[in-house]
Amino acid sequence: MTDPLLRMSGMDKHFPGVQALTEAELEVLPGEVHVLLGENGAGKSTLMKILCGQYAADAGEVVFAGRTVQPSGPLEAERLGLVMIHQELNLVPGLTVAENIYLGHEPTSGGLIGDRSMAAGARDLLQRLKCDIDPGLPVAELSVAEQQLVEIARALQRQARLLVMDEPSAALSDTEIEALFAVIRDLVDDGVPVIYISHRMPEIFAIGDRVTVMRDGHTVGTRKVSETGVAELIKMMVGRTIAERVPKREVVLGEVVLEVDGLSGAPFAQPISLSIHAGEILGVAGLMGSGRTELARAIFGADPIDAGTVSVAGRPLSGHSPAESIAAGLGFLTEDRKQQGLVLQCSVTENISLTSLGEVSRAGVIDLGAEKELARNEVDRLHIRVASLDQELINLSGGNQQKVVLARWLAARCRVLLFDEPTRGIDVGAKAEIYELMGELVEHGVAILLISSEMPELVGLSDRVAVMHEGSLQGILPRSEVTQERILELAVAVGKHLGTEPARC
Amino acid sequence: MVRNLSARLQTLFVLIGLVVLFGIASPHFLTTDNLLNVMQQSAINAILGIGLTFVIISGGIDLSVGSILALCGLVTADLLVTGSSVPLAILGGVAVGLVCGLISGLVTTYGRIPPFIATLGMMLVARSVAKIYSDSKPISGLPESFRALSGDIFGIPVLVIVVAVLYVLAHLVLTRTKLGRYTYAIGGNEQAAWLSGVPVGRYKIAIYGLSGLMAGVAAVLMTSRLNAASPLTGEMYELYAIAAAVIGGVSLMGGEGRVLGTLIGALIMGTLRNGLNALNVPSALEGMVVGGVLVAAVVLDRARHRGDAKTPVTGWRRYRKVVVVGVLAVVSVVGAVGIRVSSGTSGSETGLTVAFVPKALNSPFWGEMQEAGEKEAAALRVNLVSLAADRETDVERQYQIIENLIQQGVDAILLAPSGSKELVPAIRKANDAGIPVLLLDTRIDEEAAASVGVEVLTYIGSDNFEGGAVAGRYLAAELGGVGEIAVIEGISGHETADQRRLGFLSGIEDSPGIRVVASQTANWERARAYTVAENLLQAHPDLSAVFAANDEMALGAIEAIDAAGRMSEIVVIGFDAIPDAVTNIRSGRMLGSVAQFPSEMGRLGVLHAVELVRRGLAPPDEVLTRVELIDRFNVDDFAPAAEGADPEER
Repeated sequence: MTDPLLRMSGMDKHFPGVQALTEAELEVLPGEVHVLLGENGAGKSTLMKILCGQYAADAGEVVFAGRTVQPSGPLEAERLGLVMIHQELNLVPGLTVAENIYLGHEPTSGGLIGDRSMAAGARDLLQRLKCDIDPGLPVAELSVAEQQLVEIARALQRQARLLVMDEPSAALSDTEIEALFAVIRDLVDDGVPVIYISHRMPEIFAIGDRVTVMRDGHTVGTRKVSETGVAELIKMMVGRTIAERVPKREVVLGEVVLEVDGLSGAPFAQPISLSIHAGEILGVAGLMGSGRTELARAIFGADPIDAGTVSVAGRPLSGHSPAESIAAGLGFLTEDRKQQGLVLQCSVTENISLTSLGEVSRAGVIDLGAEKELARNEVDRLHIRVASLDQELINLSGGNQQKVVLARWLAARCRVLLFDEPTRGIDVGAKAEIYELMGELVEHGVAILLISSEMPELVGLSDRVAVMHEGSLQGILPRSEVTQERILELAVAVGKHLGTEPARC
Repeated sequence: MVRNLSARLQTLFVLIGLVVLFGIASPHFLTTDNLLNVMQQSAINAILGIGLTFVIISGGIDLSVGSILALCGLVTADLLVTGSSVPLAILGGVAVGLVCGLISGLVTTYGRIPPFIATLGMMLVARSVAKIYSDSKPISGLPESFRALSGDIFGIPVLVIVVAVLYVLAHLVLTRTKLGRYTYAIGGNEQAAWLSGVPVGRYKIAIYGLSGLMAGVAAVLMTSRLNAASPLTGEMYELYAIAAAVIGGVSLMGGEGRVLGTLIGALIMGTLRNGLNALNVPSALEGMVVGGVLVAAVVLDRARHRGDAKTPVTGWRRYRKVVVVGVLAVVSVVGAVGIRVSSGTSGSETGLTVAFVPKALNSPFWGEMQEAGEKEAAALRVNLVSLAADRETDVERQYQIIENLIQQGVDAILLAPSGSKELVPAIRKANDAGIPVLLLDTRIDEEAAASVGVEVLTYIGSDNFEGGAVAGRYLAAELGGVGEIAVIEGISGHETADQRRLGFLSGIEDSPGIRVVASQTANWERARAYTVAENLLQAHPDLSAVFAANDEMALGAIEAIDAAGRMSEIVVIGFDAIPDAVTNIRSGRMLGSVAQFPSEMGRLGVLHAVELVRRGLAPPDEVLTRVELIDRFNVDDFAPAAEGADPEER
């Protein structure tokens, strides 16, 4: 057996509130396409970002080409020949192809950039990738697939000796994926192994030589692609039955309160219909980019839709704006609380009352006492740990910040709550409290749409689970069928092959 | 919006520090009258600052308030002179401001363009509408009852009372109402606010409306104070208001700030200007000091923000901002004074101080006048203080300078008024304080003066009408009585500009073959004249001559003509005979220029002021200094002005 080109062992990485990696390992052989597989949050990206110098590991050793390395930043990693191509491409749209390829490494003579030698060099690099993009074109005019090739050409310009690609196929069509695979094979033949991060089963078998599966920050194992199958990989991703059980409260379901009918728009491959009863938790599963968040935003009126209706308690919403949805009784706990949930400069009270200011004011004038009381009630109810109600949010922990956003929606007394990753990035204790709260809410007849990447959460809390894949609803599993295996099968679209249309469920 | 007390008080400490500093440095600074003066002079900026505070906290910016101020002032003045009642006129001005602001808000919200662009557009449009509306002339002759707005109640200026009331209201709105709360939420996190059901668009429109409204209120008060309105007022005021808000701790990133901070910011700016005047620091250095304080305030604000995320700020670091800003302010002031002292103010033995207030000090014309004045002052052993605004159009600033000079108790003021109507109330104030005002170079509007009982002592300056006529006759002769002529005017509505234009037209009256095909203003500016001339050249292929009402504009026109390759076809005649023009006449690029003798004005101004104060000798009503056309034949005899002193006047 050949010596590995790269060996990462005992990799630990801790983020506030999360142990992202625990003794993770990875070995990459020369001349292979190595697939890194795992659910959202399994630690794939963290591991790769450590490799490419974006994060520093807490512990562990990286041996690359026989030397122990510890890149202090992406630039140094590049110098070693470790280059990562991110899912969100990293190009400057206004600059030309050649300028992007050479960005930061412009050939100069006498302080002037040699445009001609840059264009010629760019053309050579692109030719190695068998593509004939004009190096003088601005990148903004290229398709995503072409931009990806520019990124790869840039990596080659940096003398990459190992290329990491994070879900490169996410935005590509099937023919473009085929072309990309051809490029990857050529690269590997040229002696540049590729680590390919993906969770698309069919692709693994089309391009991968070996596959390493990660779960919860651990490395589960490495298999030769030719010697494994979908069933085994899914089992490795899911793992043994989860130890931490999330208790489900049994609630008698009421009337339908949220009815989504034929919702269609740009992010959706086909119209989406679903309904939720009072007291019900409808889980929504799906991998990153499957359209879960887009679904919640479309229901809430945050994104425009092309067709379809959303009705709350039988009354269709007409205006399609957050303000109207809220007035009808909808609430939306966003995935990204810093960007879309909290006003960090404002106090705890001000954040909680934001949606309910109308209730505590008369003729536009806020009754500060009533407002305080409103906030105080929610803070007590949710056990939010704050020094004072006037405290700025910036100093609260993630869990407490999340509870403040929750408090805002509770104060607004919503009938339907859309929860997008409600427990992301918060500690175990706060998680349990939020589960407890969701139980209380459904007991009071609130309907919850729960988007989550945490399997135990979905399986434990949901009455039913809707599974999404690439913008379409693959199916809604009844309680009796809600298992991790079943969810993952739908989520990774087993049975879907490259070049075929997704099967209807 | 939650801030610890020390952070809130920091800017206040800076303000107090400045007051103490100036109080020690100048005996004229710490008087009740002068402190009220500072407040009055900060008032317009403070009121505009309220609007800007809301806008900036909401994460936006408003560049239009200066222009809206001009437009609203004109509307109010126009309503008054056409016979509307005072309340209606006030309402009219304020309503126009509100509407302008609402339009900015609508455009930025529904047009989905950044507020910077939307309000930049409004800034240009409102300024242009103001000029069209007023035919680019100031409006004056306002009823006495309207002047009450700039009077006193129990010894406190109405302006100061209005500011106090507005700030209390604004503070309550910002802290106690939905509008205020949503302003913070939108600026802090617009996405989150929208997703929480805040009707972001509607509130943004309201916020820009409020900013426009404040500009309207400021306009009414300023019009009352100047007893006139001009389409040129308020240039750069948007930037001063932004500066006041930022010094007061409003974050340009949005979501943070308090109106009371802005008030302190406006007072700091007003104090710096007033105090620097009191120390006779040249106004050119003001920008250095205010700019330094502004940048320091933001740098420290940033530093504090970075600190926020990590460690709590403890110990002396809590006071770092106040210490550094304070030190910076002291260094700036001391530095400015130092420069002033080292450049040497002439001491006086008799203790007489004469103030020289030109429109600006940015051209050789005023420079020569100042130099000759200083020479004469030294010969007569009196002190000459020169102060000027940065821009000839900044009428309000010149007004403030006069107020400050009155506070200092100078013995006489030599004034080249930058507004023939707007400066009248300031002259009245000087009269009331028993300080004689002698006019140099530019007259004031006699009607406006008479209406408030201002006594015009004397006018010392060129006969601009005659100068224009000389140029007209010369040009007609040069062209042989036939040809197309374009006129590039100064700021219309200005006495000087109008006299020169009218004089010129009378000079060509006897030559029916001469046709004036275009007459446009270039605001006295060389760069503007270049553009104006370019357009004229496009439109008039047969043009054979250009008359520009000053040399700066003439030289701009010459460059444009040269660039178009038409130097051989078109001759240019200017006014003032500044050194650059003389050079061009000598080299044959310019046909001629009407020479004035600014040094004469400076010398005679000081002479007459001293004669009056020392010996009670009243000057004649009018002292006309000579004008002379300089062309290529006599250019070598023409020695640049400083030597042009005319012995027969002595």
